[in-house]
Amino acid sequence: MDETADQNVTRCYRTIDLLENLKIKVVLCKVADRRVPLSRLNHGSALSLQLRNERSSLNTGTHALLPHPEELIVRWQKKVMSPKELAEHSANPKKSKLKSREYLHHAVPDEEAENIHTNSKSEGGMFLFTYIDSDEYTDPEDVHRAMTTSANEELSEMAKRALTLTKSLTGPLVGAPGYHDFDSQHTGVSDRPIHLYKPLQDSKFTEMHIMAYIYSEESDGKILRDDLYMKGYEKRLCTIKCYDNGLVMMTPGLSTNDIHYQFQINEDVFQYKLELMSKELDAADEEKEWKIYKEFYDRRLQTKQAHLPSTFQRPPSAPGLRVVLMGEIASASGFTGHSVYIHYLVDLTEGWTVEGGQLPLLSAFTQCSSGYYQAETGVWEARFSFPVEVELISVQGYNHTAWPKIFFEVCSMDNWDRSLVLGYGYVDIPKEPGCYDLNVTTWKPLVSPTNQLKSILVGGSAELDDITYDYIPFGHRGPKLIKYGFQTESSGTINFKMNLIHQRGTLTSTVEADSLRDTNPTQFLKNNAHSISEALQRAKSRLEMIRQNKKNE
Amino acid sequence: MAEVFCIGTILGASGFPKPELCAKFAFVAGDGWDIIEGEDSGQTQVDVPGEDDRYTVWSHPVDVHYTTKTIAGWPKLIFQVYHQDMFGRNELYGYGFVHVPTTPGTHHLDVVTWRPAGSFTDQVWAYFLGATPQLKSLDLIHNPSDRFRLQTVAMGKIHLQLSVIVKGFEKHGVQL
Repeated sequence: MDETADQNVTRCYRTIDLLENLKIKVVLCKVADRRVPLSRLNHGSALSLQLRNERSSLNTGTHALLPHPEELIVRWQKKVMSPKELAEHSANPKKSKLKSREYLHHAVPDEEAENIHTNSKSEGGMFLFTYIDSDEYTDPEDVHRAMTTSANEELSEMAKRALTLTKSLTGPLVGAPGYHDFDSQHTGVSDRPIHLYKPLQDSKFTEMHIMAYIYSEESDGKILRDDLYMKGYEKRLCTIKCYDNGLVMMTPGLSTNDIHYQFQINEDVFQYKLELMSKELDAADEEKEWKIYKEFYDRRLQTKQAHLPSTFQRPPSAPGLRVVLMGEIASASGFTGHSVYIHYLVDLTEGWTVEGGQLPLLSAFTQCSSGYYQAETGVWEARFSFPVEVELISVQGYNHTAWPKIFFEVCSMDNWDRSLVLGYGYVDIPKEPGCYDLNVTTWKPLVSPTNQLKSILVGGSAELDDITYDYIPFGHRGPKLIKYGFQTESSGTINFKMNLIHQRGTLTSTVEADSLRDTNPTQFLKNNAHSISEALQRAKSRLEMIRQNKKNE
Repeated sequence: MAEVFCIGTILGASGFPKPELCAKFAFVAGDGWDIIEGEDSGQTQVDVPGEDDRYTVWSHPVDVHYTTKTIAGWPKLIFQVYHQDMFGRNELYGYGFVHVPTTPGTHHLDVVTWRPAGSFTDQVWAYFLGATPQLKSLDLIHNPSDRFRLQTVAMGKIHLQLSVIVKGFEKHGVQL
């Protein structure tokens, strides 16, 4: 069953082919007029019926009265002139758009004379023609389409802008006199010339319109026809918009087998269909194209691969461990001081060494930072954004009991450049790799009131002789750590962010690992029983394999 | 060989004395690190917040692809924040840096910033003419060695969201 479809529905297609290969066949057919009313029976299928009649040359009955269907194969951006344009051209060749170089360039790249078609041979009063991108045509239906049943519906300014978003207003229209705008006449919204909207220079798409120029009988039965100023109806059959990315938008879309489009002018009813006529890609061509794509992407991947370095930093020999610490002393809050600075110290325990091409900074001072008042918490915060980057190597790896620590000492400079200690704190370097956002709490030694007074008057404060007293005092021996008798006062917190990466030593297939096994088996045994059992497993499986092979032989 | 992809957005800033801000940013990494795709530096637009001026919005994209031979010198993002006043003058408002997180995944990061304080005369000068002292070398933003010479003022925070994808590290025994 044939159907007629909505002409305003846009359908999207995608192409990877050149647009020059786009070909669309339009068949336009008058299916009814004053004398031949549209019968209810063949309401939908009138077009196909008539086409069938055409083909079988059985032009009998009422259908004989109707004109032959019009047919046109439209190539992308191929100009076919309408009778009106032709009349203009012949009446005033100097003003004609055909002379414009730009127009020629866009419309007809090479064989101009041949390509500018005219379609004036039609007898049935129907002409198929095209508007191409440089014609700057905007369909009145797009601008004046009524959305409600209101007789006086007006287009809002916003809608106008949205409709002409990619088009800008240019000078006054040099339009054809006697131009007969079918839709604006009917909706009565505007008699504004529609050629006003010019696409912007950098519009993202090119478009073309497949049009019909139709002489229609007015209700008094007279056909309006004038030699110079011919009066006919311009009707848009299809708009094709092509974007750079291969998107093709057609309003309406291509007709499938059973669907075609219908419109009515006065009492004449027309139906048309749109078919894709582009040559289909055959299998060989398709394969060739895919091959090219594949080659392209392969080469791209190859060039990328070439950029990748082939080597990587060697891991330390097993069971060693490399720890890369990338930390940041972000801020210190809750310290009362005019300008605060932090002194840090990375404390390496036994068995850890520092590596790195640049001078490793195990201890440094941050800048002096004045405070930032945080209104939400009512706390002053000094901000540093100070990097702490250390690369540590351990021979024993995860077997270490004592991991390095970072000690912090928060100090301040007062107005007379006297240094005061505001807090001590330390942070354990975590044993798991990852990102950490740590808040380090601090304390400072509590001093007697007399000493406080002294501190205010003379400056200076109670300080620790040894910064490691914070944790386990250096040289501490014995089963218990007792700090009783030492009084402290809690202080602010330091925000310390840390990124940790571990690189574990590997045994498998590295020369170093083999040599290690040879030279010092006892040490190796002691340190890594796990690796031994793994090696044993491997040897077992290899033995199995050899046995299997022998059996097979 | 190993690769690190860092994709994200510089969301905006808050806590600066005035909210009309823009930021310059750049990726800095140690030897052995190479960018093979993406741009290593950029600049955001100047955002002028409306009524609620606590937050400056930039929404500036960041997208780089690193290859590396080493784990040391992991990439950092360094920032310079500028304030643009009504006369079009650009005044330095802060320096800051952040390490690209080493764990794969999406991270929300806050970067604290500071600016050199300058002497009393500098501050008077800055008050009237809007020209605060700036660093001679931007290395100081991410280099700890000479920082102690500076007297700085704490400034606001930059907010960013970074997604990190890593590839090819585990076969070299690297745990992230």
